[in-house]
Amino acid sequence: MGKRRINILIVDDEPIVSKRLKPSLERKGYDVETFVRAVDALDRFKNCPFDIVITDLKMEEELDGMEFLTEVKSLRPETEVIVITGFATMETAKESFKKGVLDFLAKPFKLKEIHNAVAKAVDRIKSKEE
Amino acid sequence: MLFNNIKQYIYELSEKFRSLFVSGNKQKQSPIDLFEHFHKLIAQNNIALEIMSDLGEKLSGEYVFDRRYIEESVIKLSDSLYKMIYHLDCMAPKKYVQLFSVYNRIRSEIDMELKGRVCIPDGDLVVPYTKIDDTLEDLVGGKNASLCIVGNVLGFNIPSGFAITTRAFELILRDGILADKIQEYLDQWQQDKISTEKVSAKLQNIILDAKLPDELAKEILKGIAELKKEVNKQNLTFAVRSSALVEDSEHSFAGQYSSFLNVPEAKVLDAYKRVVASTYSRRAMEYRREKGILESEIAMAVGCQVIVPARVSGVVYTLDAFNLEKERLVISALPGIGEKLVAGQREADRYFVSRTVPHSILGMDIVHKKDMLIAAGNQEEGLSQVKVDEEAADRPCLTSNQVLELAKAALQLERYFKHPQDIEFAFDDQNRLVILQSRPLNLQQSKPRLVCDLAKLAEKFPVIFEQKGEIVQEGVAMGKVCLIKDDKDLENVPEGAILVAHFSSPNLARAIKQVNGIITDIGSPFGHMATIAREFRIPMIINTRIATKLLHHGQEITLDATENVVYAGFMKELCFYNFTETKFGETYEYRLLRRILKKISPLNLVDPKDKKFSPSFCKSFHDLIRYIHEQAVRELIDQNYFTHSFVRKRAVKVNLSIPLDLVVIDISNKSDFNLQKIEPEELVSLPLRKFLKGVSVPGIWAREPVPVDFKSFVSSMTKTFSSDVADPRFVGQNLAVISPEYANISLRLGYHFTMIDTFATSNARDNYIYFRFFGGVTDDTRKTRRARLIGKLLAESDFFVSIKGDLVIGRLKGVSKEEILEKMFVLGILVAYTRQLDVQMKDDYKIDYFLSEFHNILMSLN
Repeated sequence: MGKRRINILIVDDEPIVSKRLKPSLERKGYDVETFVRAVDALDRFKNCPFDIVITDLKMEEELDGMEFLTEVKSLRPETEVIVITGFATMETAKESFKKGVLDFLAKPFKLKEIHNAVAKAVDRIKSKEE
Repeated sequence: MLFNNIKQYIYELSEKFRSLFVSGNKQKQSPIDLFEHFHKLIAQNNIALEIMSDLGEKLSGEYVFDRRYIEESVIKLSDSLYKMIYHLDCMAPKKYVQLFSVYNRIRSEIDMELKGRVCIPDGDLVVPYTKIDDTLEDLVGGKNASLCIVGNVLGFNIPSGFAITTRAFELILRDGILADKIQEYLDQWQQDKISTEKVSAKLQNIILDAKLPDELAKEILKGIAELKKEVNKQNLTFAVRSSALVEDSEHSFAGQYSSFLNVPEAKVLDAYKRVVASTYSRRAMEYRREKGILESEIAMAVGCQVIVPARVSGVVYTLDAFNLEKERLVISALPGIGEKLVAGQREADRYFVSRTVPHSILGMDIVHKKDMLIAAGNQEEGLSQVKVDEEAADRPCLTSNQVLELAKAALQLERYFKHPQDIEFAFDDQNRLVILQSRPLNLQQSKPRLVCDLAKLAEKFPVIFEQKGEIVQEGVAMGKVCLIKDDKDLENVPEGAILVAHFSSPNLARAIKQVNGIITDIGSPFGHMATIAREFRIPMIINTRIATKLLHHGQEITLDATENVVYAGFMKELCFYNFTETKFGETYEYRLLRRILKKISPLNLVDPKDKKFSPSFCKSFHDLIRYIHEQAVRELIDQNYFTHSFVRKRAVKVNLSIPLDLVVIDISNKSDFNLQKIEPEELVSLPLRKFLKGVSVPGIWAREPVPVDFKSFVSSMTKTFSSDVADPRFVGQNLAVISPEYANISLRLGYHFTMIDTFATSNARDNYIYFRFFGGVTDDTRKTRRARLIGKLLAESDFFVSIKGDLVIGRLKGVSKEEILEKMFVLGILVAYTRQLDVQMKDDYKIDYFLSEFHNILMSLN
């Protein structure tokens, strides 16, 4: 009970972001999968429930970050979403929080900040499970 | 805060731009405008410095950032810089127009980098190894760049040589008729109209038959001539080796391209062509096709190295990947030149050495060495095989001293590159260790065993402290604590120690090559020590406050500077795990950032008195910023407007307890200057107040002036005035230009000229002190001695010092407001103290004498 591993889905169109985040999070004991296109990430999400989703907002493909996270939240409301973005504005922040996003990080961010956000998400998930 | 309305400001800006092109007359600016522009310029100056600092901070690895961040920062920085040029132009119309073209030049170089095509940077065709650093990787290729880091940064012996750059490659293959022919064949190949085998043969022939462009041949021959001078030998033979561009470490072209050994001078040009032709060897072309690397992305640089007369050569693997639990290095060695060993074709002695200090030899496998390879003589290319001496054939070819030296060197390389290394070495005929190549050890087959459950691992090792202070450079380091209480302790830092000190003084750099990691109680992540740690990639945590209290000398610890945790004990698994991750330093974004910072941060223009202090010598944005700042201060002070009523409203004399006549101008409009004279405590500028407090400390200033002999006096008259008459600010009033957080002080005391420029804000990143001192009343030797004394006093106060003759420049940056103010106080004392000291500097011993007297003064004030 409660000993299962937390799994995290990361989506960002810049490969460097996943390249840095994945090992850092795996070190903490999380299972991590990464995607560069929201469309692929959504497909995966439909087949596999992820505890946490970390996503960029503006991605230049058919499905952008905001639409993606809206889908995620409607498919599985208990999934915690963390937004990372280089285009941080009051509007996008407000909109994200309205959609139920747990945390909003502006790029560039410290690895420490992501860990804190993930820890916050894990706390919420664990407390809901009890 | 400085301009009321952004729209208004932009309107003014565009108006001014228009008028720049239209009007031609040089109006004398009104002081009101002058001050406004000056103040805005300083504000932009600080924004620019902050952005630069911000970019530099990202090198530590603590941050996740992408290209967009770099691009946006460059845009913001360029914007500030452009505004600075604009404001300077407003202060002195038409005087500095060339700055725009300098700005454009540097900006376009940066933009080229950002465009990120496998960018062959503007550069020479041939670059000597002594001039190569790691930012030139795209010009000289990975192998050359790493080798030069090993030599130039880490200080090991490497072969003397030069790189024939990717620019040369481009010259041959991309420009002119050759390019068209090659492209034609490549197109056919890509359309499957011709087999790889055929196209490869054709392309190689094209290159081999081509004549090298004259300028390239000339440069290569010049390079060889330089090498002859460097090693002081006329009869040289060379190793001509490939050093191709690799996009990232996943593409290891190991063994794909050719190298040729022992090439006589007459054949170097030909060997170069052969190496270049190997770009199109069948194997290489197939490999690239398989990996999806475009032919247009390929570029080959070549290294031309003087052959090392090797008595013994070999290979070191810093990790025995097949027997991880044994924690050992494996050294293979044989007499003579090691080429066949590298190719796996020869048997060699093997030594197994412990990775932990004192690196004892755990075991040896000695083989019978019948023959060895040496350089073929008689100007023939290649190697010849000779018999090994009967006695030597069965003896270990390495002595235990050599084994130890190798082990230490190899681990130092591993520490630097943060990855186990595969190192080629040789001991030459003078028994010197020469590193021939160092590259990442392929750990693919060991990966599963290296990766572990880190969460569980951390439970086994107690945490001494965590999340204290700031990460300067990430990485994992294991070692025994070496506690530094004063500078003397730095003389005996054991190899592989983790340095723990109270202050992060630049003196710690002395031990940088031996240590595995650094932890300090106090220090700035923007200071000089931090920069050095990042350059050597030594894991470092700064400003923890408690390190020296919680750690004791000799304690075994593991510093995880990536997660900011210090564990008790040696966590070997963590170190191994660390090896499997793609190092941040190997990512494209990191390299891009480093290259761009090279065009932004280095400061080449330091001394405003130097004739090289001019726009045409500006190589980086920082140079431009510095130049503009300095010129702005000059423009402000040069114009003699003390009679102007505006200035009289903002200028006032300060009532001091010492006979110093100082006028203060407040550009921030915050002072109430209805009085004729003002008390120092009433000045709005904190830094100036502190300075004046220091200058006025009783007993320092007012000491008996030492009688000056006539000869000294005359020598000062002719020198100081003639060279400085062009500097009008110093032929006159002692002046301070201030705002609450800023002060620019120029003093002429006796025959010494002091200039201090400083910012003390609540944001450490913006803060700095720039101190400049020159002059004196005596002959050159005494003035120089005094300069050295001042230099020492500054260095002790953590200033970064440069001395040229009697000119001393000290810089301090990135520290807290409190520290700036404290230093201003010390500078005040220093200026008062050294006022007439040069007369007494009869010999070098006087320097130490006055140093200790100064220390006594400081201590008595605490």
